[in-house]
Amino acid sequence: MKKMSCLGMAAVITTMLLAGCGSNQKEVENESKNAPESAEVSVENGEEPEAASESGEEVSITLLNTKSELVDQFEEMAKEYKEQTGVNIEVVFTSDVVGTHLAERYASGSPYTIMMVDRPDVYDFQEYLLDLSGEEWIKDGGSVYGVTIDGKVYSFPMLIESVGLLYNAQAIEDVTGKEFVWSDYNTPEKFQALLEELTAGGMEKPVALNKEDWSLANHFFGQLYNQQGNSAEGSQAFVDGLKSGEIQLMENDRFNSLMDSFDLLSQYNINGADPLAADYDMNNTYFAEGDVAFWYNGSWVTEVYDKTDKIGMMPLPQKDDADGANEYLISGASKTLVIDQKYSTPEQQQAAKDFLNWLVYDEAGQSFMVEDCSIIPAFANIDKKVSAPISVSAQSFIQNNATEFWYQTIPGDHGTQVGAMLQKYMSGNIDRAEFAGEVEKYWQSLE
Amino acid sequence: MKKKKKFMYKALWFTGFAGPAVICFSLVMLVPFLYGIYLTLTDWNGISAEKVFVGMKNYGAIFLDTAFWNSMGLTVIYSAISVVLINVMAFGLAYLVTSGIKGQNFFRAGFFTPNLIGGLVLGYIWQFVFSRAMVSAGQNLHIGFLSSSWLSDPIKAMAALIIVSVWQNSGFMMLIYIAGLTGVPKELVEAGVIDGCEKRQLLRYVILPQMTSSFVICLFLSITRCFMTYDLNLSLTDGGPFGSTQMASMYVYQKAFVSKNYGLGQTEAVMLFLVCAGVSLLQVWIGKRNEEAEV
Amino acid sequence: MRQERAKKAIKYGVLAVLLAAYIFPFFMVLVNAFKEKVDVIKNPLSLVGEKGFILSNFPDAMEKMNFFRASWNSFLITGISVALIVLFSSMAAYIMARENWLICKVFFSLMLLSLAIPFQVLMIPLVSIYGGIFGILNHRATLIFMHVGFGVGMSTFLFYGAVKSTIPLEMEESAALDGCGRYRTFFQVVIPLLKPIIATTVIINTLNLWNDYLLPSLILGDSRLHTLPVAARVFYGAFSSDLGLLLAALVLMIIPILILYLLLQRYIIEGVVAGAVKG
Repeated sequence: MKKMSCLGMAAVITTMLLAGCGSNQKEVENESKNAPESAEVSVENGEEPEAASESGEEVSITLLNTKSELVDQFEEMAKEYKEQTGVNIEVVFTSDVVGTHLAERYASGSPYTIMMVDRPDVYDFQEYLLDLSGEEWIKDGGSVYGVTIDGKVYSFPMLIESVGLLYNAQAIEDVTGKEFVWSDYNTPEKFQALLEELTAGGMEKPVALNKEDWSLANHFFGQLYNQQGNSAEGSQAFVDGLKSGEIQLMENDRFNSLMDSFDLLSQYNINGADPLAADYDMNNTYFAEGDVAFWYNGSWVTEVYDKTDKIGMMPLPQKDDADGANEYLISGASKTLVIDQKYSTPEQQQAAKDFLNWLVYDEAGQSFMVEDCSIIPAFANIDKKVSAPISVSAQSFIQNNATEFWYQTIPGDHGTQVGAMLQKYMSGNIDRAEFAGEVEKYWQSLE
Repeated sequence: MKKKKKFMYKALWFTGFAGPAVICFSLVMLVPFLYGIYLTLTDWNGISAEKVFVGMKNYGAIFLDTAFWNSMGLTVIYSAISVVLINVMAFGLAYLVTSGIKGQNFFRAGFFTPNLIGGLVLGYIWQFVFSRAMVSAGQNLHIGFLSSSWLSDPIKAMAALIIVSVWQNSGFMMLIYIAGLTGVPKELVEAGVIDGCEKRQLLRYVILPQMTSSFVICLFLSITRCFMTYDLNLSLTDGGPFGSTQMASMYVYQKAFVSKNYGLGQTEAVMLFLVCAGVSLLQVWIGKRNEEAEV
Repeated sequence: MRQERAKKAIKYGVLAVLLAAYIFPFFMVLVNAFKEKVDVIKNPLSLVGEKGFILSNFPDAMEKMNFFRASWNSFLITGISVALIVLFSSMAAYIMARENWLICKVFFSLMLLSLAIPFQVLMIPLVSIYGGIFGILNHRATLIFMHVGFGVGMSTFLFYGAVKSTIPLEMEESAALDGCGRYRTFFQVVIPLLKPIIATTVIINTLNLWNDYLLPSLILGDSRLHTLPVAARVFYGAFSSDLGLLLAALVLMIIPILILYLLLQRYIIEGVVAGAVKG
């Protein structure tokens, strides 16, 4: 009898606890019923998808944002979009690696309707993505900047970004006493003379270099693949040559020219004694405060600095000026929007397409991108001007067609692999020939 | 008939006590693990809906992947040093803060705080310590080995990883040792004192033998934790400088998701499991034998 | 006498130095939570930033990560999971420690082995099965269930050791002679004796679950269900993080755990008394 009562007690406790879980679950379901804007929940529960937007009823879509600096802007935009069109956009942000995050979401059968991804991801996830070739914005820049696979466009270019040398003109002028025009210094000789002048004038180390993989391998060293005839075909041919082992880097002009410039920057690097201890935020502070005049980085630096707004961007000065290397700024659509076609309902897909059109053709959409997010738009029909100083500088290159092709179809592990090699070179553990050898080996291993 | 009855008896009591734990455990760990094993037999890239069955191909491929074995070797070295230091520190701390000193609650709370900071913040703070705080101290005081960042030298970066791992895990293991120490029967200690034991003898002959199960648990947990270190590796060194501190867990993750070779990455992760399980079970076995020998 | 005192001084000296090393990073988090990002980066060691001592990180962080909602989620999920883990694993450990049956040995070994499984092995299978096939992600109950599944292994291990080494069989035998059934013996005789290890297990599991990022981020896609660590991810950027807010959020997340720890510490110490009485 006692045994039974003990057993009963345990059973009661267990049931109570389980009931606790159960009620939580109900609560969530109730929440989701009360708030039908969550497309994800309704899809999960296998409920009937909401009716189409044309019939006047609500459609909800989800959007994955992967740019941390735009979190607030996207949240705000979703509210405005709801007021303007009645369509719910639930914005989700992740700082995880996008490809990995989406691999998890697809494994669990719950991706987002619209996803902001990097260009290589479009190739990886292509089988799940909606063909956008028939959209109106294709003609206004979509075909140029979107990702095209087998003749079909699968991605909407969210923004254009440029990579190059950021300069703090104010800091330079404070030392030299004369106006800084970047084109006066776009050869290695003139550039080095300026660095010398700055050093003599009291700016001990006028350059900041990042140590991160993406900056070293994909952006700096990536110029090797970019500046190959200023076309996708040229870059692809070069990469193919690396893979097949045809190209010997030590005999390659572009490689040597690039590495000469790297050595030059390294020589004046503020983190020079210990380049691998560089810190992105510290570099940003050095640049903002004018402790350094140059920072190899890109147009995503949209912060407003207290001390000056006389900052801008220029191409890295190189010995080999073929393909306009010293004139043209490397620019391309990096983050790009794609639409899921496997797990989203046709209504959601349509709503997602409508949203993309809104971004390009609606006054509110344009001002969201350009004014709120300081995005350099990829579309010719948008004539709004960005306001963040570095974006302004980059946009002027783009509007003057002074841009260099940005080869972005490098393999996912290029960053970690080549980044590690360049770090070794940077910290003096290997010389240029050894570095060249390792890079060649990396590419050949992919064949 | 009797046998059947006995079986029913066992099944009933086992389910009654261990049922809920065993069911949750099986559904959450065993089933996905078996599915995970199945995935090692495919060439899946981690994304596509298509998974092609390739048999034992991945198991052959890991033997050719020298980078994986490098990371594995690194993991073993890191774990061996960390595990020893963690447990020495943890037991030492536990012993000190239960020895009846003044303010021991305060000390206990203090040594516990490392557990509270996890993830990326942990990495950020220690990066600052190794790359900036120590460097500026080293330069001002002219101490050679401190005057450049530890994180930009492969061996020192490894040392940094070990230091932080000891710092973080010893507070955790201390908790278990404290629980173990408080479980040592008072009368045994008193009897020891009456017999004229000195403090050191008391520790060696009375307390330590009673603590075997705590040691087994702590060693087991620290071995498995060290072998699977991922967060710390990622946030403190990110495998750098130049990939020299990339340990197995991180390597496997990169292989699966960055190099988009899920099948091989998963196979290597299973390999990591086998090595880790082997080492930690060996330890439990030795511990058990000691326990029996003591009794 | 003098030697004794010198010894004591050394002991305290060592402890103080160690303590400083152990709490230093925690101290940095605390100090920098009251600074602006620029000051955190430029001068993390200074007590007050150049832009002054600011409190605004806290309300800003709370608003941005939807602090109260996330706290409630975390509280619910951690609380229920830990309660279930402790109940289930203490029961399982008891039968496993007391009976020499094959099935006990098998599951105990499997649970032990499971502690050596890298999470990467289970991550994708887990979401494929529970998301792709059953479609039960995005519920708190699912996450609780998984936390329990992941947590019982280590906790059973902890309880197993404690039952084996600290609970005298005679007590159970005498309880049985008094007519207590197995459940009653367990709940009325064994559980009270396990208090120190229960407190330890509660702390360890709470710590693990409260700070867990990976599993909740996999299971709870819906932002209304996000737990604190998932919500705090909004401060992490690809290039640089929002440090002031991040540290403020961390301080807010740490406080409940610290309080729990200080409260439960009492029970661990009580264990000493229990140990002395039981003979």
